[in-house]
Amino acid sequence: MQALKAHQDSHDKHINDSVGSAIILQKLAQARLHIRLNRCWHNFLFSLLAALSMTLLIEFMFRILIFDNRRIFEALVFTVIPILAVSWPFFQRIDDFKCATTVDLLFKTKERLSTAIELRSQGLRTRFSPEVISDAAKIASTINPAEGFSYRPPKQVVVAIISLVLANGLLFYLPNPSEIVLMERKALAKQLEIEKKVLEKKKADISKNTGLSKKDKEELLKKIDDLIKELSKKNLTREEAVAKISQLKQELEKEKPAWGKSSDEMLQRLARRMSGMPGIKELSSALQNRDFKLAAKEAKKLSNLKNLSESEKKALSAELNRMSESASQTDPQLAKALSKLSHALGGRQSGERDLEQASNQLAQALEQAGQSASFEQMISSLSDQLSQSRLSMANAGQQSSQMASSSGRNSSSNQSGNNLGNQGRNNGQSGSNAGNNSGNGSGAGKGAIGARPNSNQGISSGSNDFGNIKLDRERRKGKYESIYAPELISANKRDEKLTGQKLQGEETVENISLPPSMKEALIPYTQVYYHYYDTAVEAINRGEIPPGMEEIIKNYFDSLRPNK
Amino acid sequence: MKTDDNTRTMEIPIEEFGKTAKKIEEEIRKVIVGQAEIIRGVIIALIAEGHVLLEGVPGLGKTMLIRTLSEVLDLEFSRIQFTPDLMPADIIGTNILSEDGAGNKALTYQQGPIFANLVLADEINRATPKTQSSLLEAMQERSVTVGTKTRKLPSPFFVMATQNPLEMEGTYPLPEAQLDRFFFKLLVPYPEDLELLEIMNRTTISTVPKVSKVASGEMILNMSALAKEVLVASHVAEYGIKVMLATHPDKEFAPKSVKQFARYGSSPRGAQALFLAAKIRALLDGRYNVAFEDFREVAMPALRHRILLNYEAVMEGVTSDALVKDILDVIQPG
Repeated sequence: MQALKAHQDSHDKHINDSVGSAIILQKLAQARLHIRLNRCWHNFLFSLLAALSMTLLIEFMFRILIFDNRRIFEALVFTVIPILAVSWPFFQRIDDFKCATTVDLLFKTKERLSTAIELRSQGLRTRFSPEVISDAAKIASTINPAEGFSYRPPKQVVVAIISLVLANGLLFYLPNPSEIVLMERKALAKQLEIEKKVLEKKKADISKNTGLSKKDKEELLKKIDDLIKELSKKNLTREEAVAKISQLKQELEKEKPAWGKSSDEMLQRLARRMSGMPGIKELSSALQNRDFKLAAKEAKKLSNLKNLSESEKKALSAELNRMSESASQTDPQLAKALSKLSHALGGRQSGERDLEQASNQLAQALEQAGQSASFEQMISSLSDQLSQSRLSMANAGQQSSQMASSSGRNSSSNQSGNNLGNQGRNNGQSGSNAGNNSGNGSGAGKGAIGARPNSNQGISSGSNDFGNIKLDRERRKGKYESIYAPELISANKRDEKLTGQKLQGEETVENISLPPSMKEALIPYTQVYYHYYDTAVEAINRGEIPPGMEEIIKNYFDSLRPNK
Repeated sequence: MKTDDNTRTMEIPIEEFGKTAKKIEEEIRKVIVGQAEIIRGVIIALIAEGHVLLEGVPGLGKTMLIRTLSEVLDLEFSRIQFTPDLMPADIIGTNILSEDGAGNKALTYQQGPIFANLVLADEINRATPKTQSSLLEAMQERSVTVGTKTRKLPSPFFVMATQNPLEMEGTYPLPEAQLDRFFFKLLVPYPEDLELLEIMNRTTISTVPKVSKVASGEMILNMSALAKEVLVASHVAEYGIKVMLATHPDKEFAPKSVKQFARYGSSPRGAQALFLAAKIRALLDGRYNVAFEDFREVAMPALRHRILLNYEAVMEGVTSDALVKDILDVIQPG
């Protein structure tokens, strides 16, 4: 009987243990979920704290050490850390004992659950074992994990997060010298790329240019290649880049003919003079279009001038003679050919053969002069391009850095504006000197140079003078004020009949020439300009201009030059 | 009641433990007003078969508490008043020359007052260190050696000592070895106003409160055996060990104050006291497992006399209580 009772007691205890354990484990399972959720919240807050701290640190470090891609770091910090932190609790194993210790601490159950779990898992059997399980089960049944595990963020963490957000915000809007440097670097790198592309384009233009001699082509291409190599060097500073560009520009400037001795200008002068002469209009047109090969062909056809009347021949001979004098300083060979043609036309003993020879000689001279003109033109174009590049390089990053210093991060958008401006310029350049490219970027300002009408011309909109800008705009549109020409008054006289009442007496008739109306006395600016320009050039050629003043005059006329 | 060392303990029902402890406490409270923590401490030490050192200025009821305890328990009680001229033989007994009826003379052992279940060593620090040390063997081995013969002391054996604060005149500080043998050192505080009023009410009338014996020595031994069955979960035990180890200035997790002012920390005997006291406290609280709070509650009386302060602490007036408090502040559960 006693044995039966002992067995019954043992059975009861076993059942009690099992039921108690089940209650405890069920509560622990609930608690485990809440522990994980709480850890998620906890981890999220701390990861936010960590991310904000790291961002602050990165920002501070960035003010000392300039490194690129910090935005990527910051983005990683703000995505990877919180995601890992929040998801981490679900990958963590929370065993029953750990769970029980947490519940014990949270619900102040005086370590009843953890002791029961340890007792259960490690098989510790003492006299108190059933009581421990039963006691823990009783306590566990009173626990509601959903209430106990409501997460309250630590005040210190909340305060720290708010402080860090404010600190980050402050740092975000404070000017950052390192960012300015970095932006300058980026702008410089971008500008270098643009300049290299422009130079490559220039190279292509030179290669395609048929007017250039092979030697000239090779020489120019080598110079451009060298410059591209220099600009491709790593860690090139803006000053170095500007210096390299300036160096090449100086070299090119040396190869430029003195003002007034330019073959191109000289040929254009000849073309303008020829335009009014009989029999050589085609030649004039070819020269004006800078089609020197066609001009040479047309020159060969000048043997047909024999069909002109004597008076026309004489007039043409005289003009050719003047042209020869005009060209003598710039191109003696051409001057000689013109003179020979003049003699062939005007000479009494000259025959058809002489005319043909002279024509051929002129054709040859024009072809050579055309090559020189093409080379000069290319040199000039390249030089202008380099001036432009130098200016762009000098301005590269400065605008964005100014904006960065004035408005912190907002500068990045402005930088892109500046880049757009540069891109616009680039587009303008690639437009084969089309002239009317208005590549103004959205960041146009001092640094935006895309508005250059013609790369040969070198007129930049980078002027602060509003009047100049307006004038420039007017010129681009081809609108110029007409010039008052008093000499037209005598040339365009008009008769006006005065009427009155006829009275008795002798009738007297008197013709009075009235001056033309103001409108009639105006000449288009474009006509006047080249008249004065040619006169100035001829004056220089005749040595009438004091030495050293040629450049001043050139600049003056360049500034007045109308849009072609 | 005096029992020999072969006294066998019997398993008592768990409910009996709480009831007995409660009865002892209630009986003591009939005489002692207030001092709840001291009474609780004494009972814990009693169940743990540990010795208690009560410290306090004269007149706070230290001796009264022990005497009342002896009346509540069915144990043989003896009281030794420690004075500067007290000799070890006055405590542990001595061989004396005696003569029988036949005229034969022989040295016979005359037991000292130490041969009792509950020994009150009143004002223990008034005796010289030599005399104080005579308790060392008795307290640890529960035996005394006189001459060449070792004699077992009755079981249970408790030494309840009182002492005046060390700064008082004519006192000898207890040696560390002796201090370590005390399970608890309890500081008897001055009673509160209301308690003082109650004391006056009780002690200035003609009737003296009577207490009855509610527990035998055997019961105490059974309770002690039962308390040892209380479970301590591993993380709770680790906490207790950590608290004890934090009294050592060379431990890295020890508080700064311990590192600065402690010369030596608690001995393993301190940890034993800590664990046993925590177990008894848990049972008294109606639990069958030890909680962190049990360790925190018993840490002060179990460790305060086991921390040896350095000269700097003495000069700065730092007490070991302050160090234990720091330890409990720094070493948090969980």
